[in-house]
Amino acid sequence: MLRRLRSLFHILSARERYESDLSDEIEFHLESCAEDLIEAGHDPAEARRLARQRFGAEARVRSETRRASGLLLIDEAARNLRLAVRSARRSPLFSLTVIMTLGLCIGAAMAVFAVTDAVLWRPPPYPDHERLGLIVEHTPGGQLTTAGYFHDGRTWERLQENAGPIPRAAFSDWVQGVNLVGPGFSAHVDQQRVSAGFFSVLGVQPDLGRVFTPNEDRPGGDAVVILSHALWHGTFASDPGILDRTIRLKGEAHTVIGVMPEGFVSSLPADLWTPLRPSTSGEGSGTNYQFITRIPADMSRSEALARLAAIPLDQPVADTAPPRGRLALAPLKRSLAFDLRSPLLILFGAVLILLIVGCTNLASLLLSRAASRRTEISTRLALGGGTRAIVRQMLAESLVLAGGGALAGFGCGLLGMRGLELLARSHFGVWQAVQLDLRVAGAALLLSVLATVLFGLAPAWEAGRTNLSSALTGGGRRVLSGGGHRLRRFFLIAEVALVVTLLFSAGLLLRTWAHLGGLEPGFEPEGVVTVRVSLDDARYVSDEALSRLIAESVPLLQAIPGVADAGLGLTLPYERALNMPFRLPGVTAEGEWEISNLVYITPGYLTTLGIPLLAGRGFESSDATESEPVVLVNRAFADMYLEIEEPASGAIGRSLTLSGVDRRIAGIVGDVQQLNAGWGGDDPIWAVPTVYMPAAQVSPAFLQLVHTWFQPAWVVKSTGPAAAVTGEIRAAITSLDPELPIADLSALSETVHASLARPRFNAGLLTAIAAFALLLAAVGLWGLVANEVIERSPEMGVRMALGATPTEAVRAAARPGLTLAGLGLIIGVVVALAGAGLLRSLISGVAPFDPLTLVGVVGVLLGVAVAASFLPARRIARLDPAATLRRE
Amino acid sequence: MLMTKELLPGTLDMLILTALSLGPRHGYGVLQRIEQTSRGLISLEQGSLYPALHRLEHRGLIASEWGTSENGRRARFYRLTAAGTRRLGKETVRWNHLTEAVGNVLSTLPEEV
Repeated sequence: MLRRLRSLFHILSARERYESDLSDEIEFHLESCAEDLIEAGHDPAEARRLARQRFGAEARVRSETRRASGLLLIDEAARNLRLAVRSARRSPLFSLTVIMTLGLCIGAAMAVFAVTDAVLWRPPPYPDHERLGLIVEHTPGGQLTTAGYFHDGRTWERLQENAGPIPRAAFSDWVQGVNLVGPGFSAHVDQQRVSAGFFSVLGVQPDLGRVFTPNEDRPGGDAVVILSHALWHGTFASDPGILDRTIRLKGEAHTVIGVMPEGFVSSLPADLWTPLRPSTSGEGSGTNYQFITRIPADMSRSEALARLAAIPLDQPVADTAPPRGRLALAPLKRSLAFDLRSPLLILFGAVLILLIVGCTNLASLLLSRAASRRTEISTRLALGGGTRAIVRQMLAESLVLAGGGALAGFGCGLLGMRGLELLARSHFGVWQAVQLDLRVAGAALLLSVLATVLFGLAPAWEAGRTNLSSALTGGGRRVLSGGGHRLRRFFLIAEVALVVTLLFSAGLLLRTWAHLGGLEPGFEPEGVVTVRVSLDDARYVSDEALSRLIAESVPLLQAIPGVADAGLGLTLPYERALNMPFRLPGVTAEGEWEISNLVYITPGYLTTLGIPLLAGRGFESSDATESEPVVLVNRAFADMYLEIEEPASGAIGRSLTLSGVDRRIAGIVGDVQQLNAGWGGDDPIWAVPTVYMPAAQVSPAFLQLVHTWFQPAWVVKSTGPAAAVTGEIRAAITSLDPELPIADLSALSETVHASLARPRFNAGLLTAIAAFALLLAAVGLWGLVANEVIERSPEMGVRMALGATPTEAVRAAARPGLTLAGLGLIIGVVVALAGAGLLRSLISGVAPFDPLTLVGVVGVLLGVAVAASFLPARRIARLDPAATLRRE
Repeated sequence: MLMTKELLPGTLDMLILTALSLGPRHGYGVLQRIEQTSRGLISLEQGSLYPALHRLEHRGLIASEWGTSENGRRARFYRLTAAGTRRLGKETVRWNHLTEAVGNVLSTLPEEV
């Protein structure tokens, strides 16, 4: 077999040479024969004639020889393919529909799979990653919630005391922009803080140098840093002498002790790593750490689990607080992107549905084509054409279509993958390269090609069973067997039902996006520019330095021509803000606390952003370090905690305890939208209860702590176009401190836009998929009705001749399409409502059974179904009854 | 004298293999060899040789290469492959059985039944 194939290939690749060799061979034979004849006494001309005569018909010999070499099969295949391409070009609309359906379905499946794979499924790039896991805290009921991934410093202490031989490390999953200043440059780079042992738990050694020692990983330890390969390569020009060099990071001299290997990634994209120095105070007093572990080779998973579960946790002081659960393990692979699981899986599900709808549609299209070709095939059979030849031709036609579709699919897939990767990278952390998975591309391809070939062969299969005379004399009227009809109808119902579920899901996500985008922002973003810097810097540890920066910068910014107002705040609206425990003296029980967002601001912050003052007074420059501690609270805070009736001024003068200091509520301001900070419900964006503090009254220690998490921002309101003042804003900040790199300078509207990225991503993609599926279903319906029209034209002609009006005829032709769409719609609505719960984590501001969405989906689907049924059915009205009667 | 069409199916292949078992030769040489060794009893339609040669080559029983003929011209020489030698052996045994059997049947006299 192999030899045959090889010889075939050889012949194929040297087709031209084969022909000339064969000519030479025959020529040699004739000449040799003629020479022998001349020797035997014939004269030369006679000898050549005789030689030819004895040789026989040269043309026949040649063709038989070619066949003997296996060449004819190839010739036939080539001819069939040529014919198939010609036939595909003869019905361009049909071919284009098939190829684009295949292309978009395969492409979408490939692209979405690639992203899902990169985020969720690809094993983390660490040796023996199955043994890696995050240490999580299960609730007493054994549940794992988002909060279970985050721990405080006390839990770390308990783990250190009791975990024994289980290697472990703590890290902060919060990558911070910090200032890196070198000779002649200052840059804003991303820092992740990890404890000693982090890299050895992951099983990755630095390329150069060493990892952190326990001594460096405790408060007051040496300032050391490990660089990523990219930073070393880029900023430090691959300097081989980088180790032990001192770089100025966060305003402080840090010694470079290591460089990680190229391509190394931790949980988030980081340029460098510094020691976490876990403690039970400051950052460690809240749940700000994550723990990673590697189960030792000589310990089973259940042993490790038992050991972790046995670790005693500090129970809360107040009896009313929920009791602690126990520690457990979550596999690293599943834990890193736990908040992306459901959106990506839903997206992937949608693409799978699209793929099914696409294949269904293809099958239905090809079946209808089979119907229209029945007469042609019957004629060929009647004229003596072989069934095998017909099958081969149908196969070639299917393969040409499938091949075109596969090419289009790879094109769409590669484009879609790049586009989706760009989108995904800006919206959520894709920390592994998005790459084409050949297995998936292959599977999608195989499915589609199978559908094409299987249903493309339907006419040939039918041909085998065709009753020739009935097909011929029937004039192609009864064009599809009952089985084919039923199959097509079933396909269409399924298709419509799937499309309905996709439309409904897309509708819910669109409504969520509209809801979040339509929220009353509570401030005026127009013309506001924000400038962000990192103050996690040794030069800004002292209260004095910080106060001077704040006190000098704001008037400097306000003095810029074209600037109306300016201020500074820890975080901006539509961002995730700091949350803090506080107590209401006399209300909150002893040992308990309430939670609120906290933003420190300068007096200009509220006026710059146009956040209205509802009662009391705003901050003034007289609210200084030594004066009475005051706060402002927003409306949502007053509603949630102060339980006051109108007028809101009833809250003025009450106080709340924050960081151990009683602070008087001086005023109430309007709400602004903020990103969910991990408490108070699942809405991604809402008017979070917030306390505003004067920047001057925040203690230096607290500032230092929050500046390791947040980079404060100046807000500047320009009277004219914002672009006109950005240069001067930059110059003003640089003039105050030339070594303070500006992390970000952008319009506040961009922050708002960015906060909607995920709902926009979810809604946009699902809507695109649903719209495409709807288009496919419309094409399917159209095809069915158009087919019905061809099939029933004679009957309708007769009925119209007997007095039926054209309107009745059109209705009769369109009815099957509408009936199927209706059935599919009903099934689809039931399935969609049953499955809507799956979307619960992605929707907000809209109920899973939102009636408006349902009505919209039904309306859109009916509209499309009516259009796709009546437009082709209208052709019936143009029938000439007289002509039909004559034909019949 | 037997013409090509009177040969039993498969016989031509066997004749070619036998002709080549004595050494490589070109198509015309195969023809001459068959006619000689049959002592003139077989006269082939000469052209029919080539489909047979190419079929045998396609099946891997013989191989070919270009060389120079005895009269100094470029000619295609065929030779037996190992598979061809094995096949020839089997076919010869089969043929001998067949001829013996048929011969026995034909030579049986009525009184011997």
